[in-house]
Amino acid sequence: MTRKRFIAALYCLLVATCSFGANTTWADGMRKLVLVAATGSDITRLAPADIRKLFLGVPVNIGAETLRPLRNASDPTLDETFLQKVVFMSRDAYERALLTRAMHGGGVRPVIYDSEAKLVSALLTDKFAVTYMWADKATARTNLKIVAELWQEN
Amino acid sequence: MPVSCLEPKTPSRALRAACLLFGLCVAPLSSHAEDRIEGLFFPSVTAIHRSGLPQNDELKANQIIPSLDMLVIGSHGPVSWLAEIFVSEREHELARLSGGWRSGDTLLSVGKFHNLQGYWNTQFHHGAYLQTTIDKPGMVEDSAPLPLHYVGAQIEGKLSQWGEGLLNYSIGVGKGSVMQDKLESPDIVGPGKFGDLSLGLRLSYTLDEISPTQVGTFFAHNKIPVKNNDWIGITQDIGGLFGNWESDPFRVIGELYAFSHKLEGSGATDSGSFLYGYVQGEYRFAPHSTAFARIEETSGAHLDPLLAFLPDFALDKHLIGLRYDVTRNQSVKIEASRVKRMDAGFRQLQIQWSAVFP
Repeated sequence: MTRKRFIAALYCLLVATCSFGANTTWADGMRKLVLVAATGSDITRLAPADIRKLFLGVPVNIGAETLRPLRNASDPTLDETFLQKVVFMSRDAYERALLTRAMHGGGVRPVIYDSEAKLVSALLTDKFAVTYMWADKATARTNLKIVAELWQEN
Repeated sequence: MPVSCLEPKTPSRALRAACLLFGLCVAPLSSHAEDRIEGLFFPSVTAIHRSGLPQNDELKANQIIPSLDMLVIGSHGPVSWLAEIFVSEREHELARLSGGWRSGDTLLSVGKFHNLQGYWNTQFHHGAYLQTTIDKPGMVEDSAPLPLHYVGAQIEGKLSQWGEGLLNYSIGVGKGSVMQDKLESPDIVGPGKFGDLSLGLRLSYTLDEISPTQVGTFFAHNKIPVKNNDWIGITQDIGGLFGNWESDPFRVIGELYAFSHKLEGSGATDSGSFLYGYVQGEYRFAPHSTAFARIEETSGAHLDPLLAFLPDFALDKHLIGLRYDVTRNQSVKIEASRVKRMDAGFRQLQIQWSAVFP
């Protein structure tokens, strides 16, 4: 009996390990980057060109209100992916472009958040703020809405 | 980094007050970036060795120059403002201070600005870290023959759009510099030394709103009072072209200035004209390493009456160098150059550490 239980436990462990691995592979394969705003925000959709401009410091308006981009540095892979796949710049080139624009009087650089909790909190207090995050994290939060799909891993 | 070597000055009370005000502004507000206010600090330390200097030249053979450029920018709705203070061992100035109102694509500002001419002065200002080289082109050094700042009003915006391409304009009008031992910029803070009329126009074409590649043209008209000299005034007209082309790993910057000026004194007049231009090439041969070279030349400057006021102006300069980005916000540069002024020529080797914080 004890031996049967041991074999059953081993089998369950094996199945669990395999399915965890499969889930990980599936999640990685479906990784999607999205732009989000607070659910109550007036922002509906944003074009990819406008998103690039916005995060490079160019004012993008909805009505009379200027959108405020927030940088999500809570996950270095996410931030790097956003710069490479959406802004089409290396981190160094991006930082340099923002500094040059700021030096020219083109406005402040996007605020950087290392903590996702603080980022979401800032997003919820500003109806005209947007940020980027992985789709699974965005859909898990009912107080956020997706306003653009930015990139999907093949 | 200024080449000219003036006597050290004690910061004026007004400038110290401005620095204090700057600090008070930045300290509490930059920690709350949501307030749309940001402070940037650009420190640098440059070690210079010069050979071939004439005896008793005011430049030193060996020199270490620390400097700090502080910028604070902010916006609240359509209102934006900017203040830039540059401090080094040899000079200190409130380089820029302006407040602006944006309406659509148009920004109207009042305050103290850098001039609108060319590319370099409108891109890097005093941020040593932002420019790939150590030395600025001679035309934007303190010993340059054109006013680098003016106090007045500026309007800028989009003139036309073709597809993604944009034609941008900037127009500035105000009070410019005064000629003393060199062109002294006007000051908002401290004892006033406003010059006369300074008018500037700049047109630039960019491939799209975020492209660094641009070409353009500029015009300026300056009336410059002369102090302590037989000449009493200079009327100056400047026209030129500029371009910046970037396609990673290459970058090319070029500017051409055409000067025409008339000097007036008690019953006498004189006039002159000359051309100045430079081309700078950069090649990023590794992710954090860039090689660069620049050639600056002046033509028709022999016995020019305006340049007679400015013996420190670098007529020709040839330089090569390397830049290594040590971290995300710090760089080390090494640069060798050959400089020819009105009165002498010398060679220079410089090493610089520069950074931006935060």
